[in-house]
Amino acid sequence: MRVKEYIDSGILEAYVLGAASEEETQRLLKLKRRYPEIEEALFQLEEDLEIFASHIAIPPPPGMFEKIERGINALIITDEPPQINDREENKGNQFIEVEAESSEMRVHKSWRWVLAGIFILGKIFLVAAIYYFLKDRQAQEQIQELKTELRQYHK
Amino acid sequence: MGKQGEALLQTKPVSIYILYDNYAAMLLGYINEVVKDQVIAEEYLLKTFNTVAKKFNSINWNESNNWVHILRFAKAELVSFHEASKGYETPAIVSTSNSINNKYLDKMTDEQRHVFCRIYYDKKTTAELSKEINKPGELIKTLLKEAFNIIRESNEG
Repeated sequence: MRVKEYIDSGILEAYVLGAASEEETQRLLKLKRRYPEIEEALFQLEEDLEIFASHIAIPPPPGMFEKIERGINALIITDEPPQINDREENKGNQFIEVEAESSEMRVHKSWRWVLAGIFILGKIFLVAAIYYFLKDRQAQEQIQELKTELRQYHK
Repeated sequence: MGKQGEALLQTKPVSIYILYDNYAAMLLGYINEVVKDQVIAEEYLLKTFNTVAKKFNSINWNESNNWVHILRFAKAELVSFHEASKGYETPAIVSTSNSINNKYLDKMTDEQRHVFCRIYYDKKTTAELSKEINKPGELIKTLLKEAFNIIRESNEG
């Protein structure tokens, strides 16, 4: 491998500007690790490019970094992992959370049987109430009929 | 806020701040040279730094120098601009008189300047440019090398 010839080919310049093909890039990265001359040449080219860019630099307007910082802070909040230890910490705590920041209430799973029982009992009482109400009304009507019959009989 | 969030707050903005401090002006100058509009250039600057922040931990900062990394991100962001303005050539390519005073470009021949600017500003690959101007890829690379030599010689001189 003629290292100097390779360096002089212009492939390093193409790589630094991101214009080399994938195959050329992979080969260059391998050779860079093997030949310090290539690594040194690449370093020098990157420096040249930086000097070229500094020549056309335009200072950003004030407040630009604050905008970037706001974007970063939003990113940090979004990336925050969910708090999964709350439940573990409250494992021994069997109180039902009645008041919380959320508008929803969480209760222990065992309460579902109690709530189901209350629901079924409620239905039974409701049916019984309707049944006795109708029965009572029927009895009242029968009493009224008997009273009417008695009045007619006395006449 | 969890420990991870606190760690990001402590490390990320500091590093991003250093990058911003060192390269924001260079990047704005570069983007402005591509889009030729200060407001649009500032939008792309913002987008680029946000993307760098987002991918900060996945970047191997030792692989190349920081400017080259940032430049790659800026070029990736500017793809949308290039696609929206197909056929548009960065003014620096067309004529040096249209571009801001650039001592490096002024010293290049038309061919060298065209190749350098098409690749540097317009994100062309050597293969694409070879096809576009109907010249061998080896010649494109040679012209590119010559352009870099001019930049180096201008700095040394």
